[in-house]
Amino acid sequence: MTILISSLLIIPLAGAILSYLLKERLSQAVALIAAVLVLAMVAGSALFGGLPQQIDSATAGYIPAINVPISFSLGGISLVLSLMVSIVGFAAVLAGNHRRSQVRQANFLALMLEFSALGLFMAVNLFIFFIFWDIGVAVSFFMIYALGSGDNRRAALKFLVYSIAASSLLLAAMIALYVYVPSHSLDYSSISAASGSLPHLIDIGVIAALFVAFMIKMPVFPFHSWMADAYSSASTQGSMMISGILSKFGAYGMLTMFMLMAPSSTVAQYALFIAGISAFYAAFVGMRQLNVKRMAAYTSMAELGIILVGISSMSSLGYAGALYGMLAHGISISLLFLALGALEYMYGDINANMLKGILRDAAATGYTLVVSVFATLGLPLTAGFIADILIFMGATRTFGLAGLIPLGALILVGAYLFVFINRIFPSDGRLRASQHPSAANLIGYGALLFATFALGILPFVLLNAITL
Amino acid sequence: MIIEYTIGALAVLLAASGLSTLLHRNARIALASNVVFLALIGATFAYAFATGYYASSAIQVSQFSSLFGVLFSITLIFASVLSYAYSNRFSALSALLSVVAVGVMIVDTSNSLISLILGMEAIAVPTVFLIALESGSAEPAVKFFVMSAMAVAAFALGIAALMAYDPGLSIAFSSISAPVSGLMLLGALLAVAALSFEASLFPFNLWIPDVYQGAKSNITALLAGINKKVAFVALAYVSFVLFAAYIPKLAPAFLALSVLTMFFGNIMALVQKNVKRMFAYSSISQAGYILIGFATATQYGIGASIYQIIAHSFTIIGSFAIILWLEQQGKQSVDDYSALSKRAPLAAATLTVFMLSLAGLPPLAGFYGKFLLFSGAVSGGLLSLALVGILNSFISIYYYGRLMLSIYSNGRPKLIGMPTPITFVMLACLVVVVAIGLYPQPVIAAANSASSYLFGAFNTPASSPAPG
Repeated sequence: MTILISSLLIIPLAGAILSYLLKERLSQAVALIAAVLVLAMVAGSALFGGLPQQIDSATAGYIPAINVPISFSLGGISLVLSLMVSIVGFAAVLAGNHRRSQVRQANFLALMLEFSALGLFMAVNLFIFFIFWDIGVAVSFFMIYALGSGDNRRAALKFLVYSIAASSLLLAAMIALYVYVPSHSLDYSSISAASGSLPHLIDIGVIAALFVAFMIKMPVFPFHSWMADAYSSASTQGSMMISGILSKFGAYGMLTMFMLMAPSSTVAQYALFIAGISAFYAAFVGMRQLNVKRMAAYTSMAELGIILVGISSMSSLGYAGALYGMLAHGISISLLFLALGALEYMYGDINANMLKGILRDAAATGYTLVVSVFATLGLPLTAGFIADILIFMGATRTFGLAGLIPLGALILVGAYLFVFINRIFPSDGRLRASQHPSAANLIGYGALLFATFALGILPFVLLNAITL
Repeated sequence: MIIEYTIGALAVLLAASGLSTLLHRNARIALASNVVFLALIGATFAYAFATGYYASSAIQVSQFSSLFGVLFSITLIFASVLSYAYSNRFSALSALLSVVAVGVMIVDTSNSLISLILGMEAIAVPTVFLIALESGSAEPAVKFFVMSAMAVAAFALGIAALMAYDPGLSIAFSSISAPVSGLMLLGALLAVAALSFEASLFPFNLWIPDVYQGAKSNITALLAGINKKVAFVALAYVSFVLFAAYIPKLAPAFLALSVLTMFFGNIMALVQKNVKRMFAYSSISQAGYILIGFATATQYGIGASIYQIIAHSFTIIGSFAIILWLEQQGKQSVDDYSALSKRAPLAAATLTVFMLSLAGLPPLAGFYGKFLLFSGAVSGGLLSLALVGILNSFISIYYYGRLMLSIYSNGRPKLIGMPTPITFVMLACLVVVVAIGLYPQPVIAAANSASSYLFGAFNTPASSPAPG
């Protein structure tokens, strides 16, 4: 069955290279075919694979000199996240490039990010994880810089410096594990088996380095300052994929680290504290943003804080909630950025004060925006709701009522998003769109809306898979 | 027996044909003869390496020297091809390059200190003329001349201390049997300091940026890609074979040199506006990384250094090929590189790959060098050295990132086409860097086997089990 994993990696990679080499029109077709194929394969395995912990695995020798095999596994966590990646990737390739500018480069980068994300989520060896992690960093850098607009130069350099700081910490932790794990193997199973017997200082150091690396990537306060610039100056496709997919590199890394290294309950309490601070901080800063994209960026950061709450609970409920949260957040935030990108395309520069009346002038995009805000908040019927319930159930079990404090941040975010929606509802605005969203754009909305409601109404389809 | 004679005969033929170009003055024949003889020498070394051939008579052919024989043959071919691109007096250059090549082979296979010094002189003297011939002013050549004269004097002084124990001055002379004396230690330190000039280690490297910038880039490629690496080979012979008994005393010196060199190179590179000078400092910092393996002084660590020497040779020669091409059009500063991607996407992408490899991002050749070096340091008990190395590779992303921003900015620069020789070297180096990065196993294994020769054959006390 390794053909499934190989094709999940080869199709996006080949699609990326082809779509860069071909002419623009062919490029779009090839990229779309690659994205659809990946989506079909992942969704097919999720629906018909019977959802065991492992649908497919692939292992082969790679670099015996340093004991690194190629090892991937699809199933459980990796299946859920691959599903998110393939949905977001499909929508981004289909709808994310409103202006059809630099089509070849945009498709190349989008599929490369999909490739790196699939590789990273399916990897069961820290070394392989790291390789895909850095591919994702390089690709996102170009997504922000080469395709972005506005102050993209500063945003891209900031992103690169923060990301490489995270990579460096990850590398340091990886090397320490490589030397101190008795079998000199970076397989997750070996790390997990050795985690109890590492020297105390190395254990603390590795957990701290990994924790900070993943905090930077998610991002979590105080390492978030690259985020708002990056999200707001990347292209629509870029901000969809960076906020939807790349931020999950950090969240997934955090989840994996907690599951493998089994940190002490003190670490978990610190993590909860940091998660709470981060969520509240993001809520307060987001409240004051006039630029809608920046507001969406801080909303996303608050959500990631909530996901960290689930992880820090170190319970199976919390883990399942965090995982479902990553899935839900990936879909809802990319829907939000898709709608905002479409608005920017239609009306030029957008800020919260200008959007009055879009529901009349641009009904489809306007209502999608409203629904995506609800989905981001995790209202019932959307996937985020299931995630939040699981996360806070897990958190109260581990931390008691203290685990509910971060819920306050979510309520704050809800409050200001509600104010925002109230501002765009009136129909007496004088907005006149200069452009209209394409059919592809509308299909993109449809796909993401379908996913968020399907996963919200029928959560058991996937929840069975994540008996952690 | 036959292999040593073949190598010797080919080296004589190489020098003879090189010098004969001064008579016929045909650039094409000169290039062809250089390339053919170097290719034959490389093939002979490759055969010797693959069959595990070992001989120690007039010259020494081992896993170590034949691996470097292969590397230097290939890189010397690249250097010759690069010089062919823009020179109207290539016949003179070719004669000098063939002498340099013979000198490189003498150092690589030297069995006694006399031939080591001779080889180093055979490299240094023609290099002075190469720098002088290919640059507008005499200043860089004079600087290089003075520095290498001082280095040779210091080296001769350093090994004079050995005369009392072994008048034959054989490199295989086991100094383990000689008493550890203050005078010998002084000699060892002097020899290391002398080699540090060419190996560009702080504080002996202050001449490097001026000479690298002043010389034409094909010569800079020779200096950074070959001369410097030969100095490391000589350093390996001197410290791990000749003065093996003094390793516990030399290792701290290497540690200090390594840390200072890394910081010096990286911090100075941060503030450079001239791309060539930036790469000169970057190559200094890479010398600091290479020295981490020397400071570790284990078989694994030296293997890592050997790997890094191989990876860096190709990366830096490829980079200077592109720099040469732009330099010929008067483009030298970071700003001059702006919008390179718009007119020369292949060159821009290649330079980006080289920089990402230098910064140590996977899956490129440079990443594995850093992983091996840092993990070697950690397993050798030098955790702090590994952390300093990681910190430095983090610093380096800033200046590489800045140049990448410039390369991918918008604009319409005027560029003339790239000559075929430069395209050849650039693409060949790109293929090597990417191929090693995607499948590093053969190179890591070769480097390990070379380093095990260095440790095994002379039974030095400093070897310790490598992880993995």
